[in-house]
Amino acid sequence: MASNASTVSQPLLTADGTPLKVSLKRSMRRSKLRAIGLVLPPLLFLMLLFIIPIGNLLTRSVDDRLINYQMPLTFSIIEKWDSQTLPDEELFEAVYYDLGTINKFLITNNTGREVNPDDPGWRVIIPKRGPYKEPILKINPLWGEVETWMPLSRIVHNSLEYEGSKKEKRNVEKRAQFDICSYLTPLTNAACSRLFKVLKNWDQQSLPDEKFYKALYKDLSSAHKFLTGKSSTRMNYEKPGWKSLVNKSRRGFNKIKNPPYKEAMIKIEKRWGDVNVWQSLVAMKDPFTSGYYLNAFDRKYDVDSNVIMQPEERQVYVMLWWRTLLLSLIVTIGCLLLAYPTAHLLATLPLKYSNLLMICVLMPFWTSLLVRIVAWMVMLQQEGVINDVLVSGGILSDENRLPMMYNFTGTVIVMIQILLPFMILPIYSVMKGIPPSYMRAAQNLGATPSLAFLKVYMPQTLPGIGAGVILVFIVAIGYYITPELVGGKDGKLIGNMVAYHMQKSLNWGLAAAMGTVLLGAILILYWVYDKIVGIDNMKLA
Amino acid sequence: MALPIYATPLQRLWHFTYLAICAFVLFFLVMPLIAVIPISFSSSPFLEFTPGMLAFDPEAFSLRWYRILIGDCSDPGITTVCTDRWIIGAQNSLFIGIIATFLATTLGIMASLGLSRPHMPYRKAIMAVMISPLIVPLIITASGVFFFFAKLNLVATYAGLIFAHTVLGLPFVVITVTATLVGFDQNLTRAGASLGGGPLRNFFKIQMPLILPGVISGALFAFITSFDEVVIVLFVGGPEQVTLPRQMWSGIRQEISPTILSAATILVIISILLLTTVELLRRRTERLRGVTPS
Repeated sequence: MASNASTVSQPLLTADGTPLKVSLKRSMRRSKLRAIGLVLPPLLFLMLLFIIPIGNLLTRSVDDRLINYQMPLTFSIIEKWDSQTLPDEELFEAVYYDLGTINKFLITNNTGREVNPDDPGWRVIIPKRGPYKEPILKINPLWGEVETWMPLSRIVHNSLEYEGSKKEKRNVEKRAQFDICSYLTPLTNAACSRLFKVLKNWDQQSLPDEKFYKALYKDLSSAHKFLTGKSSTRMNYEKPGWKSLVNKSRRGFNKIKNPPYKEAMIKIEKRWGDVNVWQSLVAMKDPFTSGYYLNAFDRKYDVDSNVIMQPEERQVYVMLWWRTLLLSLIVTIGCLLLAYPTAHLLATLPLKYSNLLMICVLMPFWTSLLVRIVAWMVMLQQEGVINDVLVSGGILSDENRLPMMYNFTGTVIVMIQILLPFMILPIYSVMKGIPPSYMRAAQNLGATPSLAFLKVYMPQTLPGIGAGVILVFIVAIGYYITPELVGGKDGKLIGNMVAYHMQKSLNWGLAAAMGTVLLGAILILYWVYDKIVGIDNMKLA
Repeated sequence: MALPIYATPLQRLWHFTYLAICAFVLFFLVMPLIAVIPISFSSSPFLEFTPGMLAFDPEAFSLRWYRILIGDCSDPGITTVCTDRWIIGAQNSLFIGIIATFLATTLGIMASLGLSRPHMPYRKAIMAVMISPLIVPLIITASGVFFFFAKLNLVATYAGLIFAHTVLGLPFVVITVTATLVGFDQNLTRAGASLGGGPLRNFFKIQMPLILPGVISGALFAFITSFDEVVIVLFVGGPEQVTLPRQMWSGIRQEISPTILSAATILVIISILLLTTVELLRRRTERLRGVTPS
C-alpha cells in the first residue's frame, strides 16, 4: 500500500533527477526559442525594408500636416470666423504673417500646433536687409542663447569629423545641410548651406553674432519659399487657383508696409475678397485628411463638409477603377477558359507527352516579362506578324490592318498570355490528383459524359479553379508594367495612375490613397486565397 | 486520351475542338517568344519578317544587332543608338541579382528552418508576412520603398536596389525550401546530434544536401525575379544603376530596334536553360523522396 502511494505522489524523474514535466517543458521552450531565433532575422529584415515602408506610404494618404506648418497662426484663429461673411482684419493679418514671414520657424518649435496667437513674436517683421539679430531675438529670445544653437552645431561637427574620400565627404556635408533644415523646419529636402558655413567656424561658446542671424534668416527664407511652394500645390488640390493666389500674394506682400492688411491684400489679389477662398481654407485645417481618398473616387468636400462629386472635367478615377476591375475580370475569365482544357489535357496525357507540353507552359513563366512584352509588340503592331499573316492570307486588306497594340485589346491579350501559367498550374495540380476511374464510374452508373463531367469531375477541380482565379485576379488588378508599355491611352489602369502621381505630378498623397485602396482589396483577396488554398500550399511550378 | 471507337460524331467533334483549343493555347503561350528569335537575326531595322527572310536569302540575315548589343559600333549602316549600356546593364543586373539572391537565400533558409520546427508560435501569421512581398503589387512596394530609402539615403545606390530585390526574392526561397522540408526526416539531424555533430555541422552535412534542390530552385526564382525586375529599379535606382530590364524598358519606350530583340533572344535562351535546371532538380527531389514519376 505504502509503496503504491509513493509512486502516485512522486512525479516521474529524468536521469538527472529533474521531474519529467519540467524537463519536457524546458526542452520545448528551448526548441521554441531556437525556432524564433531562426525566424527573427529574416522577419526583422522584412519588417524594416518592406512592412514599415508600406505602412509609411499608407500614412501619407491621410497626412495633411504640411499646411498646418504653413498656416499655424491662421488656423489657430480661423475657428472664430463664422464661415459666411468676409473675415475681418484679424484673419487677414494672420494670413499675411503666415505667408509672408518666417516667424513660425523661430517660435513654434516647428510642430505647427499649440500655437498661441497672442504671442507678440508673430507680429515682428524682420527687415529684408537686416539687421537680423534684434528682431529675431524679439520673436524668440531663446535664439540668443548658446544652447539653442548647439544641436545645429553638433550636426555640422559630426559631418566634419567624417573621414573618407573627397566625394564621400562632400556628400556627408551636403547631407548635414539638409539635416539642419529638417531640424529647423518640417522640410526634408531644403538645404541650409549658409548656416552650415557659419557654424563650421564657431567655437561653440561665444555668443552668436549678427552673421549667424543673417544666415538663419536667409536659410529659413529659402526654406519658407520651398514650403509655400509645396503647400500651395497641396492647397490647389482642395480648390484650384490657390497656387497662383499664394504665389501672387507672396510677391505683393512685400509692398504692404502697414496695417490694415485687409484692404491691402484685396487690392493685391481680389480673390482674397472671395468668401469661397476662405471657406476652402477651413477645410484644410485638420492635420489628417480624407480628401485624398475622396479624390481617388472623384469626390470632394463642399463648404459644409458634405461629400460631393468633383466637377465633370476632373472626374477620371472612378472610370479607372471600373476599367481596372473590368480588365482584371476579363483577363481572369479569359485565362480560366483557356487554362481549363489545357490543364485537363496536361493532366490526362501520358507523362512523356505532358512533360513536353508542360515546357510550353513553363517557358513563358521563366522568361523575362519585358521580353514577353517585346515579343507581343512584334506580333501585334500594325506592321506586325499577325497583321502580316492576315493580310497575306487575304483576310484583311492592307489598309485595314487591325490596331491591336496600345489599346485595351492589346493589354488584354498580353496580360492573358502573361498570367495564363498562373491559372494552368494550380488547376493542373488539382486535376492530377483526380483518379480517372471516377469519371468511368460515373458513366458506368449511367451518366452521359457531359453529366459526369459536370457532376463528378468539375466539382473536384473547384479548389484549383479558386486558387487560379484569385491568384490571377490579384496579380492583374495591381498590374503596372504591361499597361504602361502596351496599354496606350485606353489601356491604363490604377497602377499606372499611382506611378503617374508618384513620378510626374508628385501628388504623393493621392498616389498613397489609391495604393492603399488597391492594397486593401488585394489583402482581402489574399485572405480569401488563404482560406481556400492555404498559403502553405502555395507551390511554384 | 484516345477517343473510344463507339464515340458519337458529336463527341468526336467536341473532342477535336478540345484538342484544337489546347493546341491554340500552347501555341499562344510560346509563339511570340519563338517569333522573336529569327527577327533578331534580320539585317533590316524593322521588326518584321522581311520578304528576304521568308525567301531564306542569306543577305537578309545578319548578326549586326548582336554586335550593337555588345557595344560594337563599327557597323557603318547603323542608324539606331549604339551604346555600351547594354553591357553595363547586364553587368549591373548580374551583380545586383547575385548578391540579392545570396541574401534572400540565406534569410529564406533561416526562416524556413524556423517555420518548419514543430514548436514555432504564430506560424501562419509569420508565413503570411514572409509571402506578402509576392502579393503586394510592385508599384506599391516600389513607392513605399522609395520614400523609405529617401530617408535612409539609399536612393540611387546599389545597396538600396540589392535590399529591395532581396525582399522580393525572399518569398520564393521560403516557399520552395519549406516545401522541401515537409518531407524531411527530423530523425536524421537527431542522429547527427547523437553522433556529436554541432548544430552548424549537422545543418551543412546532413540537412543542407537533402534540401539543396529546394534551395537551388528557390535561389533561381529569386535570381530571375531580381534579374527581371524593372519597377523598383525605375523608382529607386539612379542613372548609374542601369540594369538590363531598365535598358530594355527605355528601349521599348523610345525606339524599338532589333537590338532589343537580340537581347530578348539571349534572355529566352537563358530562361530555357534555367527551366531545364529546375525541372531536373524537381525530378531529383522526387527520386530522393522515393516518389517515382508515374
